[in-house]
Amino acid sequence: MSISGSMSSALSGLNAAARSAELISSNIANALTDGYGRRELQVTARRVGTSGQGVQVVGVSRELNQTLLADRRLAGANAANMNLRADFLARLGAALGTPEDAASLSGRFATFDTTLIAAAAEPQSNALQTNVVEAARALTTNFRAVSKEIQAARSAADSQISTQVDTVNSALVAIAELNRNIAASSAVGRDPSALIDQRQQLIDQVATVIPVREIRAENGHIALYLAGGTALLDGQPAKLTFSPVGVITPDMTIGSGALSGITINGRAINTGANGTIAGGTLAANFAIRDELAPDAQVELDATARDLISRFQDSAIGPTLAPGGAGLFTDGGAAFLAVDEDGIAARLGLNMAVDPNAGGAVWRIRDGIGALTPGPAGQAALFSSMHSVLNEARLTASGALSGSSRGALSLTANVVSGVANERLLRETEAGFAAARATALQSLELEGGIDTDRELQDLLLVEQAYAANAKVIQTADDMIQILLGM
Amino acid sequence: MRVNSIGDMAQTFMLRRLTTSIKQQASTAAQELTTGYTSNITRKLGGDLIRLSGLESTLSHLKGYRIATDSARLTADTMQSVFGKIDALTDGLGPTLLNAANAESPRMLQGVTTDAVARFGAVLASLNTKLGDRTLFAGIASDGPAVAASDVILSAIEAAVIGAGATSASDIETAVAAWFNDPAGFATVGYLGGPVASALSVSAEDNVNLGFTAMDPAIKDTLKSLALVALVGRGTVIFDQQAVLHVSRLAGTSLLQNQSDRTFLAANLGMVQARIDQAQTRNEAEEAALQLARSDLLAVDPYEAATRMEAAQTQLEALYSVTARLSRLSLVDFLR
Repeated sequence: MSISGSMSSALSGLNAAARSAELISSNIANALTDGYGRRELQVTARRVGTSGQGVQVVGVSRELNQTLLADRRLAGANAANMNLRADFLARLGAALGTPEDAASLSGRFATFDTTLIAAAAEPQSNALQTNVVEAARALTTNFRAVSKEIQAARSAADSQISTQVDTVNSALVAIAELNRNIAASSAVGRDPSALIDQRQQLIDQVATVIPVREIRAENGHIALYLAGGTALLDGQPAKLTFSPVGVITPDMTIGSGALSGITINGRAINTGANGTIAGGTLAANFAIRDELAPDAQVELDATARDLISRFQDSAIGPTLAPGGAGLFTDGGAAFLAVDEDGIAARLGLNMAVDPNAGGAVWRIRDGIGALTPGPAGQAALFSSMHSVLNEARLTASGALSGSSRGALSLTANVVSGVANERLLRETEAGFAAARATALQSLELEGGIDTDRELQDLLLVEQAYAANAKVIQTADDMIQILLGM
Repeated sequence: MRVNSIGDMAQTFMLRRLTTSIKQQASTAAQELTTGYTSNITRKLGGDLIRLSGLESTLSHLKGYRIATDSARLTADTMQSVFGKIDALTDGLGPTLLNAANAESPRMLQGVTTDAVARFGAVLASLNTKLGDRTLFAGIASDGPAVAASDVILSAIEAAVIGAGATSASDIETAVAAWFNDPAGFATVGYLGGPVASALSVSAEDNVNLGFTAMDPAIKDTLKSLALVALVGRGTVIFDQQAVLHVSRLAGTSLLQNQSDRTFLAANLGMVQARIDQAQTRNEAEEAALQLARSDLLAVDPYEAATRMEAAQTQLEALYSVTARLSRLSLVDFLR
């Protein structure tokens, strides 16, 4: 022991305190930064020969609960996935509307039916005939609007997939780069914590889109794997490819080859419910594009087909040519069963009754094929249209095929099916969100606590003052020696 | 479980989450309180919209049936008043005619029969009564008149009588009756309307038949008797005094008979009117019941909604004061 030894110890203490204060200030500055891991100075007693002399800074540690982080990522991805699905069903439900709203699909059906009853009472009234035609037009418009909404949701999902694939690709490249930087930084003894923070944020980004498992490799490298074992990043980043299409129409499916799937390093992967990317927002977008929305379109098409077929029937009046279009048409022409896909998007009103298309409203009373107006008091066609709309018929297609229903009842069942699924999905999404929130809350609890940092800072301040005092005292002692 | 620290963000995160969820509750409660209806119908009905849809479509149908019953009632009432008018026009003509014929007073008879020509015209005019733009007794051809003008009909009858070469009273009556029954006679020249209109639905179960036209046998017989008298009045085909008297007697007798046929017709119409009234009452009762059922499905108890809103408000206020307190609880404020 010597005075100069004391000086040296005190100096190392000053140094350690200064480093500590630096880290605390960084911690406090990042108190609100997402993905910032709390830093702490690692110190140990310095040894010179066999005796201790001062304090030695070993390095900087970054606090991290790896298990919690992995759980939080999975739960977050799952919640985002459920949320997207529930959102789609909510949008679909809003487009279909609830029955008490006259502008909903079932409301339009009821209004159309009501105008038929009223027109039967006053068959000579031009106003009531116009009401029937306009109600029928509103019904077709509503079908087309819902169909458009469904296909818009598919297009949106498709373009979102494209954006997400780009995000993942660039994140993977950046993570690979950070991996190298972190290794280099550690090798020369610099603190790589800031780089690790950045890398964690990037992995978070990827994990919401595709659930990944993070594996720690040597030199501070990490590797990312999909649930099925496919490597997204193992030394080299994988390359995801996807080709978006602009506008999606009901006939375009992944099966027909019109829509793209995803390949990882050139190998196609399963994008379905049990596929390798299941559980994230990417899978949810694929589910909307390839399952939920097409299913909804099928049901809507089945309802539209049922409506068209009811009126494209010779029972509805002798003026209807065999094989000719009825009151409702497939884009102006007669409907054929083979053209069922996307019929809701093409549902139209027969031009013969449409005054905007050169038709005349009296044909709604006298028959689509009538050449001249018939007797003004003839109400038979209105009555038969009313009964044709309400009679129980065998539903030809869709999930409800095989049972007999009236047109209104069929619509109510389809709308109700969507509403029911929406409720189920919303409940599931609620559970998933609650779990994700709880885990996120736990993760945040491990974040920066400014009170604790300030308490540490107080200690650092005291330590600094004490070390300085030691130096001053040692100096005094040397002065005393020199002054003798 | 951490013992040594809790991240600042954890607290903020919790407060933010609570604020959002309570605010949502408050706004839902406020909306339900002001509208009186649930803000999420799907959830309230447990995803089953079929019942509501059935209710709504029946309610909507009832609106259509209201138009139908209003229209049917007005039609039936007007028809009944036309029957009344025809009764008033022919009432007393039979006995007067018989009296005049029995008294063998040509001048008196002349007066009565000339008046009958005008009455014949008036009966035809009342058969052409329009309700709005609809001729009531013309069947489905409701946009035109139901019967031709009196001159046209009488001239056609005269031509038929001359064509048949009828001179005796019974021959003339036979010729006139034949013209009325001939498909090329009254059915073509006199009646200008169409076939009977189909029955009208006035509720989901009730159809009423308002198919009364000028071709109805009771009306046609009345027209026939009146036409006979009018022929006498016009004096264009019957010249023999005895024939005049005889024809007048025949016409007077059949006019008396027609009256009871027309009463049956009016009674039939009366029954239809009663059924329309019943249907209307039933529809209104059904509508009221369905409205009640509908509000049972959709309505929210306002007291319950108000209580929820009050609770949310209290909770939110508590949360705000907690937030304010917590944000002051920092070591920084105490380090000097």
